[in-house]
Amino acid sequence: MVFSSLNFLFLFLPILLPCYFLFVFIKKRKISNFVLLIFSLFFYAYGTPKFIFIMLFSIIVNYVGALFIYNDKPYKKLALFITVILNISVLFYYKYANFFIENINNIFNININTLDIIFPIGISFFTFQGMSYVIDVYRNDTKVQKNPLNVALYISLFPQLIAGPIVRYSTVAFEIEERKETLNDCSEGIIRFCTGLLKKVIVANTIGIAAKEILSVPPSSMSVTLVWLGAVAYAFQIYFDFSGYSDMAIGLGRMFGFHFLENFNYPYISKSITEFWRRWHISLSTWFRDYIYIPLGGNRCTKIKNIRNIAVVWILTGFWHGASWNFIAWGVYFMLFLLGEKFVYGKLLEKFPAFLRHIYAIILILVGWIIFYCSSMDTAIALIKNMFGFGKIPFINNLTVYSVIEYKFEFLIAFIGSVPIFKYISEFIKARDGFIKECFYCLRVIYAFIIFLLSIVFIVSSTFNPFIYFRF
Amino acid sequence: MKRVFQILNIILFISLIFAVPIFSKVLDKEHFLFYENRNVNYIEDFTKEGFLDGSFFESVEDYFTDIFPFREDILKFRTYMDRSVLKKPVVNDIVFSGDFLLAKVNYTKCDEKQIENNSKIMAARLSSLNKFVNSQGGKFYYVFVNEQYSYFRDKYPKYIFNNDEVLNKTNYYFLKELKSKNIEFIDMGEVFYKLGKKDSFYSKIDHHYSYEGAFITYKTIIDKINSETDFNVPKLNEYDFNFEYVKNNYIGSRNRKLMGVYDFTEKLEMGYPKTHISFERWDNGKRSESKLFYTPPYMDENVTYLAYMGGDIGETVIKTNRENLLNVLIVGDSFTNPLETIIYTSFNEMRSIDLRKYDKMTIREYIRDYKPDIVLMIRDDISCLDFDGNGYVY
Repeated sequence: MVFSSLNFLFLFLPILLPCYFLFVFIKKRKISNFVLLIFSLFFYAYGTPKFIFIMLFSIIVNYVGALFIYNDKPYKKLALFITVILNISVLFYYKYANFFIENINNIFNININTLDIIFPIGISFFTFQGMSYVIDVYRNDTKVQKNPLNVALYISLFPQLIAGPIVRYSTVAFEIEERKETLNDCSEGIIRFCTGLLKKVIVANTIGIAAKEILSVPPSSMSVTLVWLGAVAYAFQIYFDFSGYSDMAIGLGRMFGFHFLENFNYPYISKSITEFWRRWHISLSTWFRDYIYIPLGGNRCTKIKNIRNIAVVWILTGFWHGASWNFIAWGVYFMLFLLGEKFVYGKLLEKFPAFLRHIYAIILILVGWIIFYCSSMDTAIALIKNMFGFGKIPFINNLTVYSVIEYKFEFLIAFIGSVPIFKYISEFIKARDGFIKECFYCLRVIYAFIIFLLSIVFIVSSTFNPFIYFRF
Repeated sequence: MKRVFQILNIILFISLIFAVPIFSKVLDKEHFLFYENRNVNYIEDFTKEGFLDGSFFESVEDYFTDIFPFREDILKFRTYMDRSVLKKPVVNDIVFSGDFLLAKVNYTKCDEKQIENNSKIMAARLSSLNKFVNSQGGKFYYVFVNEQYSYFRDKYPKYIFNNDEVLNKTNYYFLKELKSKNIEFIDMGEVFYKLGKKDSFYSKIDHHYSYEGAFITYKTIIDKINSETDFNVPKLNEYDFNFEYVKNNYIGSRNRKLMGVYDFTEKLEMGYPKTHISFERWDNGKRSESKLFYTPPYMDENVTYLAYMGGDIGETVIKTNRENLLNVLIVGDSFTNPLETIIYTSFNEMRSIDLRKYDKMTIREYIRDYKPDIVLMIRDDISCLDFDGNGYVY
C-alpha cells in the first residue's frame, strides 16, 4: 500500500486512527503499540501478503541477534556477524542474486538459470534499519529491546516502511515506549503529510509524465535542449517523489507521536556535490557514514585508505539503489567528483562566485540523474553526448517546444518547490508576534485542507482509465 | 489561538477521510462508467490464492477507485482545469486544435524498413485471401480509409507530433504492395482528396469518418465494382436518401475522453432511403429488431457513434430478400458501421464481420460456407498493419 492511494487515505487511515487513539486516550501504550504493529504488518502485507514472512524473518533475526549481542557477551562479535550476514543474505537473495547470475553467465559464457524472484517492496529500507539496531546494540549505543513486539514495531512501523527515511533505532527507542501524542504534533503531522502528498501527487507524478515522455524519445531524435529538459524533469520527479514520501512518513510518524529525522534539505540549492550529498537522502548517507565509512577508518587514516573508504561507500551507495551496472556507475560517478572536491579542486571551487558553483553542481547532478535513469550505459552515454552537443542533433526541436508549453506549470511549481522560499517566509513570520502570526496559523490550516483536496483530485483523476477508443 | 487552529486542522482532516468512505457507502453507485466506456471494476471472490498474490486487495482498490464519491465530477474538474485554466494543448491524450479534437500520438521514430516488411507480409496474406475468394466465385476489394487524426494531420499545431512520416510511409508501402499483388483496392484518402478534402468528410470529435464520408465511401465502392465487373450493382445517390441530424448531444470518442466538459456543435447524421427497403436483421445468429440506428429515447441523453448499427457486433446479417441482387460480406471494424446502414440498399444480403469480435470460425471458413459474391475488407491506416484480431483472418 502506498500513502498516495485512495485505499490508504480513505480506508486504512479511518480504521487505524480510532483504533489507535482509543487506547492512547485510555493510556494503554502497549495496546496502542500493538494496534500500530498489526496495522503496520497489514500495510506491508497488503500488496503481496506472502512477503510478510520475509518481514517476520527480519524481525526475528534482529530481535534474537540483539539478545545475543548486548551486555558485552563473549560471543557478541560472532552473533553480530551472523545477524548481519543473515540480513545481507535476505537482501542479496531478493535484490541482487539475479544480477550476479546474469553477470556470471556473461563473463563465463555459461547458462545458469535466473531465479524466479519478485522483489519485496521496502526490503532495502527495513534490512538497513534492522542492521542499524543490532550494530547499535553491539556498540552499546543503545539498549537492547527485550520486548519482541517493540522490535517488530520498530522494523515494520508503516510510515517509514516502504521508502524510508531509514530510521535509526536510537532515534525512536524512547518514543516506542514513552512517546506522547500531542495536539501540536498531530496538527503539524497533518500539515507535513499533506505537503508530502502534494509533492508526490501533484508535482512528482505530473512532471514524471513529462520526464517519461521526453526521455523515452530515442536519443537520435532528440535535441540538446530536450535532453536537458528531460533531465530537469526527471530530477524534479525523483526529488519530489522521494522527499514527498519522506514528508508523508515524517508527518504520519508525528501524528502517532514519533519524531523521525529529516531526509532532505533542498538538495538542488547545493553549490557542490559534497553539499548535495549532505542534503540528499540524509538517512542513507549517514547510515553509510556511521556503519561503513567510519568503521573502515573514515578520514582518520592515510590518504590512500581514505580514498578506498570513499570508494567502498560510493560503490555500495550506487549498488544499494538497484542491482544494475548503471547504479554502480552512478555511485562511481559521484565518488569521482567527491574525491575531486576533497583532494583536487575543492579549495579552488570555493573561490568561484556562488552562482557558478551552483551551476557546476546542478550540471553534474543532472548528468548523474541521466546515468541513474538509463537502464543501459549505451543510452546514458548517448544522452550525455547529446546534452553537450556531441550527438549531431539540433539545438531545439518541436518536442522541446511542446514539452515546455504542455508542462510549463509543472516545471514552474517544481522549481518553486525545490528552493526554500516558503521555508524562509514561514521562519520570518514565525519570528513575528501578534496578528501576522495568527493569520499564519490560520493560513496553514487552509493550506493543508486545500492541498489535501487538490491531491485527492489528482489521485482520482489519475485513475481515469478509458477503454482504448481505437479498438471501438 | 494557535490551539484553535490546530483543533480545526485536525477536525478538517479527520472529517474528510471519514466522509469519503461514508459517501461511498451511501451514494448510489454507477455500474457503467460512460466516459470511460467500461464497467465498474468488481471485487473478486476471496480466495487463498487471491489473498496471497495480492490480487484480492488489488480488486478492492480498483473497485473503491471506481466508486469514489463524485468521481465523475472530479474528473470533469481536472479536465476543465487543465484545458481552461492551465491552457494545456493536450488534455487526457486529446490534442485541441481549433474545432478539431485529435489524438495525442507519442513520438515514435519511423522505421521504414519495418513498415515495408509488414506491408509485404500483410499484402501476401491479403493476396492469399483474394485468391481464396476468387476460388469461391467471389470478388475481393480492399477499402483503405484514413483514421480521423490521419485525415486531419495537417491540422495539428506545428509543435505537436502528428506521426506524419509513419502514416505517409504506411500509405506508400502498403498500397504499393497491394498493387503488386493485384489486389483490387480503393484508396479513400485519394478519393477524398480529389473531392476537395473537405473537413465535413470526417468527424471533428470522433476518430471515424462522418456519415457524409461513409456515403462517399459507399458510392465509390459501388462505382468500383460496376466499373470492373458486369455485376451492375444498383447504386443510390444522395438524392435517394433523406438525411437528418440526431438532435441529442453527440459525444464522439475524442470529446468523450474530455468527459463531455466542452460543448461541440457537431451532430450525428443519419440517412434513410426515400423508398423504403424492408429487411430482416440477425446479430450473432439471433433475430434482431429490423433497425439500423439506435438513438437514445430521451433528449437529455448523449448519442454516440454506437448509434450506427448498435455498435460493434461480431456478426450482423441483413436480408432484403431481393434474390436478383448480389450478396456482400463486409469485414472490418467500427469503420464499417455507418457504411452498413447505407450499403445494404444495394444488395440482397449483407453480412458484416467485426474482426475484433467474431471468433466462431475463420473468415476463410465463413466465405467457404456463405460464398458471398463480393467481399469488402475495410481498414484504416492506423490498423491496416495490425496482425491481431481474428487470428485466421487472412
